[in-house]
Amino acid sequence: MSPEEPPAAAQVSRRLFLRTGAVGTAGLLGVSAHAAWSPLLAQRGLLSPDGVFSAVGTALADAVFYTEHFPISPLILHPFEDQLPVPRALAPVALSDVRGWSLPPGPGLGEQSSLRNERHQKWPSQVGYPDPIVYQIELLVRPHSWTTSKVLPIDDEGRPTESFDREGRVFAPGTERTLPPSTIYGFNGTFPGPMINAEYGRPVLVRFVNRLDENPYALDRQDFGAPDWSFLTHLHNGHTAPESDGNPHYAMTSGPRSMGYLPGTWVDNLYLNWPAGGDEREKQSFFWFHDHRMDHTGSNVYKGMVGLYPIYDPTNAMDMGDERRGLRLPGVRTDRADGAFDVAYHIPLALHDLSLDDGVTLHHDIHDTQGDFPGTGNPAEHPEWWGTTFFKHFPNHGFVGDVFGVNGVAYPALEVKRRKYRFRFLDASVARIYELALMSSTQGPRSAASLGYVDDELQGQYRIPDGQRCMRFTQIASDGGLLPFPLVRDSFELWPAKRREVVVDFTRYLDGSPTTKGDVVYLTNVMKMPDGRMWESSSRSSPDAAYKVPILKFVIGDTAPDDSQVPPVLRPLPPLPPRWKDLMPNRLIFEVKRGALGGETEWLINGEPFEPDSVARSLKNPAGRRPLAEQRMGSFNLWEIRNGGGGWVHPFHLHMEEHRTVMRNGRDVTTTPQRGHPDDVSREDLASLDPNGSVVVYRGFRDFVGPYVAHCHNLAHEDHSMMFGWSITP
Amino acid sequence: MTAVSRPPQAAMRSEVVQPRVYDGNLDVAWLTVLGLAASMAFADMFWVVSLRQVAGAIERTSDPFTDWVRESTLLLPTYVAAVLCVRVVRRRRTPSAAAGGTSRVGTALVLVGAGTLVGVLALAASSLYDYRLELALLGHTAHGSCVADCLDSQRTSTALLQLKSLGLGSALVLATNLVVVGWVAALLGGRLRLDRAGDPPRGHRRIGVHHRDGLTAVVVSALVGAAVLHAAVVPEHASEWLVAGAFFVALACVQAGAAGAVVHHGGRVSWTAAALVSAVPLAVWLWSRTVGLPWGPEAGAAEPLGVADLAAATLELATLVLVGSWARHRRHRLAGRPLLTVDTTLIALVALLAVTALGLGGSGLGWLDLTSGTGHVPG
Ligand SMILES: [Cu+2]
Repeated sequence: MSPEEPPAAAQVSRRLFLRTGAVGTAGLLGVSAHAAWSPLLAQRGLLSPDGVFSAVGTALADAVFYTEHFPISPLILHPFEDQLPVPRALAPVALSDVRGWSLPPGPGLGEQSSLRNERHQKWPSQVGYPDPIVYQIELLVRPHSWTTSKVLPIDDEGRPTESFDREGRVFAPGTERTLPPSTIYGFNGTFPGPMINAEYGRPVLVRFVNRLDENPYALDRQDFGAPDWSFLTHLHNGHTAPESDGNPHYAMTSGPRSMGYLPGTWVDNLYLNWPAGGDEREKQSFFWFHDHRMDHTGSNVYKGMVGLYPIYDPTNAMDMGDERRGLRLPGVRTDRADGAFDVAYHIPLALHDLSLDDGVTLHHDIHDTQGDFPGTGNPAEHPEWWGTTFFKHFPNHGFVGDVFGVNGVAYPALEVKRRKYRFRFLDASVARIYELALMSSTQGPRSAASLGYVDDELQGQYRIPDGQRCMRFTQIASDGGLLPFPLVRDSFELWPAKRREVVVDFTRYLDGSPTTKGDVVYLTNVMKMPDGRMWESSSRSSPDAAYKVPILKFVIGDTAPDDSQVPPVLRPLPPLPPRWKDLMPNRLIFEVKRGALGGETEWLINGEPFEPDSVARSLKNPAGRRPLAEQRMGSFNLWEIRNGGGGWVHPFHLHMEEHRTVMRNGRDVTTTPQRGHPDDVSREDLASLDPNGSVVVYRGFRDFVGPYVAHCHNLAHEDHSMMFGWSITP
Repeated sequence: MTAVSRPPQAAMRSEVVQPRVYDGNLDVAWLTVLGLAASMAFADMFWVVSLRQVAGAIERTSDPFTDWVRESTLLLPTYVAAVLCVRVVRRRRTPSAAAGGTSRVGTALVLVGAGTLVGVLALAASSLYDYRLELALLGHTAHGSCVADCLDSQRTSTALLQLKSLGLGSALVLATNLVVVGWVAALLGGRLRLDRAGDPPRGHRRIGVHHRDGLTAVVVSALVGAAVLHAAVVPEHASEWLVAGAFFVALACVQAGAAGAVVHHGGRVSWTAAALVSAVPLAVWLWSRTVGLPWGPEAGAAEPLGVADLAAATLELATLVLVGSWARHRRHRLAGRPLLTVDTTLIALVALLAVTALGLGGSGLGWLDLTSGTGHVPG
């Protein structure tokens, strides 16, 4: 032993100390890490040996690889004062005017678009329908105002901060401002675009005319929206032929043979309003049309290309908008002289989130290096764009905004009569999922900033701390039309592109007490989703009782007559073949998963990015085969869509025919749906894939042939390759 | 403590009785060495596999946990070799190892450095492989209008992502190894002894093996390693061309046979045989990787380099070098001077094991396969 070493006793106690310390620290770290992270991991489907690696990888990527920083939008000081815009139905073009067009619509070759190279696959006469009602919708550059309220610029701590204007002026913190108009690319120049009230049996033809090259208001086009100003309109989820479907698999291989229709061109989208297979049970009730231009769908939709397309069913007056006939769902119909009709008490609610530029957030995107927006000087801050919509085309997870709007207005209000209403909910957001509830509040909304919230918790701007659930929804329809029977729900989730129709009775509260004039009920979002990846809290996983963000204020008005009712039975489901499980072994399997290529190819299906000129191939199925995504016309099959994990959720949309979910997470849900997905008992066109979730859907391929697509409807995912081509063969 | 004064011990074979010099020792604190190597291997690979989740090729991201266990295990011998190197270096530098505090810290830091070197090299190899796979995916994708410049920018950003991941990973590996080594040191009560506790007991097995036995052991393990690797690639080759499968079976047998001969006879004939069964396949391998073999399903085409064949070639080259030194040693009769010290022998053995393990990882053998992961291969 060397002389400088301490005596044995001291040495032993020192060693003991070190050893105990080592074991203790490791144990303590292990226990506390487990306690801190396991609930979060469990919620994201990552509480597994594999999941830990995903979680760590993602945390590293968020911290180092990606800058997913969005601005803090200025606080809207007087929410719920602007009225909710309730769209009137768009008027068709008079027949005499259509005849006067130099190139009127028609069934012949070259009559389908200004490119003169295609024809409509099925003209209405081929299914015994009359000639279509013709509408014209122009794509226009226009200004749009999200609110008339004064705003207070705030920072990520919720404190007043500087703001700017186009002339380069700087405004001191605390200065209340008015928002400048945002630039939109809109259907007929509005956000949302027009609403077409359609009916089964009465085909509609919409001539979409691209005039995005004109800029009569000399607006700043900023740095998002397809840089070539092209568009491609998809009626989601109309049962249409490929040339009217507006999908990139078609557009890249036929018709425009490019990503979209350029300025100066037009295309006629023909919507037969014909249920799949001519089957009454396949009738749907609420479509929307939106842009689908390859690689820029998210930015084009966010920039305004959203339109509404409710579809009524006059057969036996079942669902024709008249509450005295058929199913007697709420609605009072007025037929107009111009050929359109309006339905009172029947209100579409298109939800969207937006982010308003604070002038100090860096605009930084992969598109900068591609020279898509050369005039902007990106990466750069844009104080001159202060208060206008901010967009990031290529975020890490998906794009979410912190201001919630309905029908183009932030935090609107709607005076309702004391009676039943039918609301058609649509999530028109890029990535945000909502969970909606109806709440009352005595104190009313208070700004999140005034409640001391900071950063992501500021999303939604307002909260109703004393909010209480006061009414229920009676869900009557989902994406695929009327449900077989109504579902009474406390709250429901609304995923991107999904539709949910509900009846709300404004005459009484949950407890049976009657409402009185002047009462206020808030449509409230209770799902906290700080990024486009997935929710952080919602009713079905780690709920946050404090997250109650009012979106729309209902003010109870006078009593109005009400002849409507909610019948116990709505529209029966098309039957499943009794031996549908025989199709399981040879089903088509598609796994959606985040890849890790640099640049724009991030999101993959079966390990492959979208290839617009070919059809995808299934993963190896239990029968040992890898079938191509090609189906015979008139056939039915099972397709499995699988979430490849990593803590993301994906709203996965299949074009063409709505489907029915038969298996979820490996279990048969045809008779008993799983908690969290009660509307699996309906027809849908969008599968909600929970973390690690999978669904098997039964779907048909009827009436048309040609190229279609399926894709994630988190538009940031879709635009970065999470899409595949499939087709129907004769 | 010096070992020079040790009395010679009884030799095992009469013709090699030599006066003894210090020849290293076998008093390795195996528990500490293995513990350190394993902790660093598993900790470092945790980051490598985690980073692959965000920057790696998608087909390598399906089963991270399995990948982690596999990769850490296959890299374990490399880490052990690194730790043994540190042991020797520290012994040479500070013969009275593990005495003072500075020396302790020094040992710890050198250990961290060695482990980090292995970890960073593994990360770099993994990133490079990911990048190759990602380029292939980009290459066979005709994504819309993305050609030329656009494709270039995607390649650039993919490369940038890999570089970022390499930079971040290296920092994490270094920090982690610091923590791991510190933790192990604390667990051992503050002493990181890579030799068995305390001074070696006097007269305790200072050295028990003859120097030539060290060389024999190393040659034999190189041959056995090559044989194992050749056996491991039999299924893959047989599935392409039965003749190739048969060739590798034969090659594995011959190399194993030569190893047996060296152990049992140890004469000139067996050493020459060892050289031959290494030189011939090495030449054939060089030929196949440069101009391509004139026969087989892909006659005339140069085959791509792989991990398994590189490892086998390394082992064969090592055999040739060792046989060469043996011959030279014999000719010059450098009596009393061990060709390989016990320390070197030990490191060489572990290093050969490491090469074999990595080679196995590249052999395409089911669970061991490092290259394809367990994800599906697109296309
Ligand atoms: Cu997605």
